[in-house]
Parts: sequence; C-alpha cells; structure tokens
Amino acid sequence: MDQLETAARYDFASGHNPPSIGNACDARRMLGVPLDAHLLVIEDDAMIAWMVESLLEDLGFSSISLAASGEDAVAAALVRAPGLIISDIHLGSGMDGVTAAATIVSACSAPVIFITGYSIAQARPRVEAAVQGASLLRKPIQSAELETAIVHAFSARGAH
Amino acid sequence: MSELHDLRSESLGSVLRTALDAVVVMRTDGTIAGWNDVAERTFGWSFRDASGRRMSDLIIPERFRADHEKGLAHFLATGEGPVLNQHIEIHALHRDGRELPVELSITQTSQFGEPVFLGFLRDISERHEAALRQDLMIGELNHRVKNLLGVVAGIAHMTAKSSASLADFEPAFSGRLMALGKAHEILTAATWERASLQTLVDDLLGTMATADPPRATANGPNILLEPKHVLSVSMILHELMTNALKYGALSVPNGHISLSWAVDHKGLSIEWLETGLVLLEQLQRKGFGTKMIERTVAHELKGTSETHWRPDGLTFRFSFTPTTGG
Repeated sequence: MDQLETAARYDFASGHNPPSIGNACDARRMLGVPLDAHLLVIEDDAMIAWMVESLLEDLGFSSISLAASGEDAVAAALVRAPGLIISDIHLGSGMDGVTAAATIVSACSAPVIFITGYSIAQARPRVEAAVQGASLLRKPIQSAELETAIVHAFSARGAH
Repeated sequence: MSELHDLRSESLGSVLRTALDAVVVMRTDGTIAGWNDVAERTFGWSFRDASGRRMSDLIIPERFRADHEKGLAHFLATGEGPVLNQHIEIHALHRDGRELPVELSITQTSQFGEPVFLGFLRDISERHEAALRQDLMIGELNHRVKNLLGVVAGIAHMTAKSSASLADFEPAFSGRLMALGKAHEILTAATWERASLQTLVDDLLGTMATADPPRATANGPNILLEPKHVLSVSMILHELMTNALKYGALSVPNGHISLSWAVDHKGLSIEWLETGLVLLEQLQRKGFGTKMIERTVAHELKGTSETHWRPDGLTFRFSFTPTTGG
C-alpha cells in the first residue's frame, strides 16, 4: 500500500485533481455551506462511493469519510460526528441506510441526504418517518442535484 | 326458519358435488344450505359445522361482513345485485383464521325448490402468490437496474476524471462496461446465485490461456462466489488485465501471467503474478485502475491487498472472506 502510494505518479490518473477555476466558483456559490464540515458517505458500491466523494471534493469539501455498511457508518460516526450524512438506502445484507442514518442522527443531529435506487414514492414514507427533514435523490445522481440538496440541508438547518 | 332442507354434498347433485371448485349454497336469509367436499377442504368447516350458520360469519372476513349483509338486503329489496353473474376476486376466511384469496362467482337459482344463491369459489392462493412474487421481482429488477445505472455513472465519472482526452476515455470506459456486462452474463447464467470463480477467470483470460504457448495460466480450487463478490472480483481482474496489456506482462513478447487462488482459514487469496518484464519503473503505476482495485478490495470485499515488485515483474495479491454455504 505504502509502496503504491509512493510509486511514481507518472500518469494523469490520480482521481484527485486540484479544483479547477470552475470548481472554485461552485464553492463560492455554496453560500451558507460550511465547507469544513465533516461528511459521512454511506454507500456499499465502491464506484458510486468514489464518485460521490469526488463530487463532494469538487464542491470544496475536504473532510469526507466513506462507509460501506450501516454498521461501519455508525462506528465511524462514533469516532467522528458528521456534519452531514449522505447515504444509500439499500446496503446489501445488514443494517440499511435509513436505520444507520436514524441511529446516528439520534445521537448527534446532522442533516441527511438519501440517494436511492428505489422509486422515490416507495422510499419517501419510510425516510420521512425515520429521519425528519431528510432529502431524497434518485440514482444515478447528478452533481447539480447533489449540490442543491446540500445547500438545502444546511440552510434548513440554519433556519431551525 | 327455512323450508329448504339441508343440501349435503351427496344431495347437491352430481355436477355440483364433483365440481373442482368449492360450492356454497346460501339461502336468501343468508344461512348456509349446501356445502360440497371442496368447500370443506377449502374453508376447514365440515358440512355439519357449516349447515344453517350464517355464511358471512363463517367465510367472510369481518371487515367485509357489513357490506355483504347490506348487498344481500339491497338485492332482496330491489333485485339489483352488482356482484352476481361475474367472477370477482376477494378474500375469504378459513376456519383457522387465515385469509385466502378466492375467485368467486355467484348465481341465483331456484332449482332446489326455493330461490337460493349458488357460490363457486376457487382458492387462488398460488396464482396470487405468483403474482406477488412477480411484483417483487419487478421491483427488485427495477432497483437493480437503477443501482447498476449508478455504478455505470460512477465508472463514467471516474474514468472521465482520469482521462486526458476523449480518445483515452472511450476505450477505458467501454472496457469497464464490457467487464461489468460479462460479470452480469455469468451471474445471469447462474440465475444470480453463486457463480464459479473459474468461469470468471476463463472468461477473462480467453485466448491468452488457450494460445500456444499460453500467455496466461490459471490454477485454483473450485469455489463459488456470491453475486456481489463476483461483480467486485471481475472488476478487479479486469483492471489487472488492462494494466497488464498496457504496461505489464502482456505488453511485452515474453511476458506471462499466472493467476492462482487458494482457500484457507483466513479466506480466499487470489494471486496475480506477472513475469517476463524488464523495465521495472514502467510497472510502478498508481493509475486509476490501481486505485479502483484498492478501493474495491477494501470497500466491497472488506479485504486486503498488497503488491510486490520484482526486477522481472510483480505480484498482486488480494484476500477476503467469501460467504460460505448457499
């Protein structure tokens, strides 16, 4: 691992490009959003988790934890309380995203954004019953939708 | 109360008695006059139990009883009976309290001496369960498709980020999509149960393994992987293969890949060995593929991976715990 990290980065494929000018503008536009907030992403699929992480980095966030299961997410939240949770709903076997987010929020209140492959109509009643004020995005997600949901999550929070 | 004597199964007439459906004869006052053998089996009440009881108390779930009584009174008063002479699907009550879906048709007849209602009821539990299963499968399929679109979007996004140009993006992206497609094909052939690692490997190595002399060899015990592990392992092997073709053992004339796996108390270890290379620094890659492999091993397989560089090549090994049974 260490050897890989220090291996020559001769290619362009780091996946962690420095923010471009466009990204900097995006970050400035996200008024009222604390970019130093710690984000917890709960998603069992590595590619989707990576994409969400990358989109969040592009928006200007730098403190992001990834959890592949509900159990891992709850454990991660105990180590560091998240300022925002972004979670898939279905996480394979074990605790699902709604239960994980509700468990975490009951201990340290944080806004929650769910991303789901289920139909929104199917997921909404359960999500709303479990986590008040949570928003719901459909897979596959788009950067603009995610950004809007994040701005909304923090502004709704500020209004409380 | 009724002038009509009881209609035992034997006296229902051969047609009704031998009917494959439950036959229930109800008097206009709502009591049961007839009840065949199928009705006994379907609802759990013998004819002796059922005879003379109100039909609604016996086989209509409580929540529908008031409507039933109202409908009967309405028919007797007006002659209007919207549920008569057609097939309807409704829930009936079994003696043990469970409800069963039935297909019901009601006709009116006077053939037993006074006007009675003749009900034919067919237990459609199996059809109902099949329909529910189908709904469930469609829902699951829909969820799976949307999740897969999420994965494709993720692959597209990350491949685009790691590509210097569209010319770089296209083959890298379509290669990953093809690997995903192949893994799904293998899983579909295995009806989304466990699939064999050997099948996955044979598919990946293809002509590399069958060439003379072979450019790649594979060796390991027969092991079945659960669907999500099949997807993860196939994406990992695809990235290893792509790297080998671009910079590794398959980019030089005498390079060779040896893929092997073993199971021990710690789990499954898969080893990817490239030999026949001379330029070590070309191998020391930290590209998108390598990152994708590391992430997939850690995030999806909850396993570990390590790479050892040698003057003539490299060894990449990853280990994880496959679920047993199934």
